[in-house]
Amino acid sequence: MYVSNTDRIVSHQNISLLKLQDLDLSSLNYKIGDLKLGTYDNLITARHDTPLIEILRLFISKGISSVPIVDKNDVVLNVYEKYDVLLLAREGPYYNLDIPVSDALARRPLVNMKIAASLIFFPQICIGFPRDTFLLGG
Amino acid sequence: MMQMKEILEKNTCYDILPLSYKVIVFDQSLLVKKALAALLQNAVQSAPVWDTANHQFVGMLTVTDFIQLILYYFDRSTPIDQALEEIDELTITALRGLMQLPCEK
Repeated sequence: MYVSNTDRIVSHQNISLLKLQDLDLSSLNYKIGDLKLGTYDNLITARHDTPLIEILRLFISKGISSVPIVDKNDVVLNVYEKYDVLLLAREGPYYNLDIPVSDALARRPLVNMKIAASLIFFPQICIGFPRDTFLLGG
Repeated sequence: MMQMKEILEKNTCYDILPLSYKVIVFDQSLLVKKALAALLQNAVQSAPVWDTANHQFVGMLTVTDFIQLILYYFDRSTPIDQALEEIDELTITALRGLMQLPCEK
């Protein structure tokens, strides 16, 4: 499945409100696209060779929580999240923040990161479409 | 859409809390490196910070704080050994004090 234009991101924080226990959610058949849930305009993206330090500065200056990593055709390769900074901090030395973000992504545990144009689906990212509803997204 | 509106209006935060849950809170005298380990171990992004002396919450320790800590040493081009030494002793209180200093480049 191809995502040909990355113009939207929905983070879990937008939908965590809906984890209502013991309540009937079967009628929650709203499409993410209809609700415009997520970021649609002025989306900030990065390339695989964007230095990590630049992305850290973006998190602060733009007040965003994640950045999609795209290739030159705007195909989503991965997403670098604020939470990943904690993994970075755990490594110990905070030096060499000039490394490309793809290096930092490679350090994510349990996942074999092979960033290739042909490999679109990554286990830790689910690519959704505006026609998806909350129930489909789980 | 009206159903969604109703659900959101009728329910409180208390309603969506699980019956039993682990709560992570940091004392502000805790070392930042230990706080980091606790956040990673419990797979949470942030936690409230408690001031024992004054019996009150004084803020949240979030990933932004760690980003700012990283940028702090990066912008000053601090040698890595010195940075690690300083971070080793850093408490949450000290971290918050650090962030209020103007950046000297």
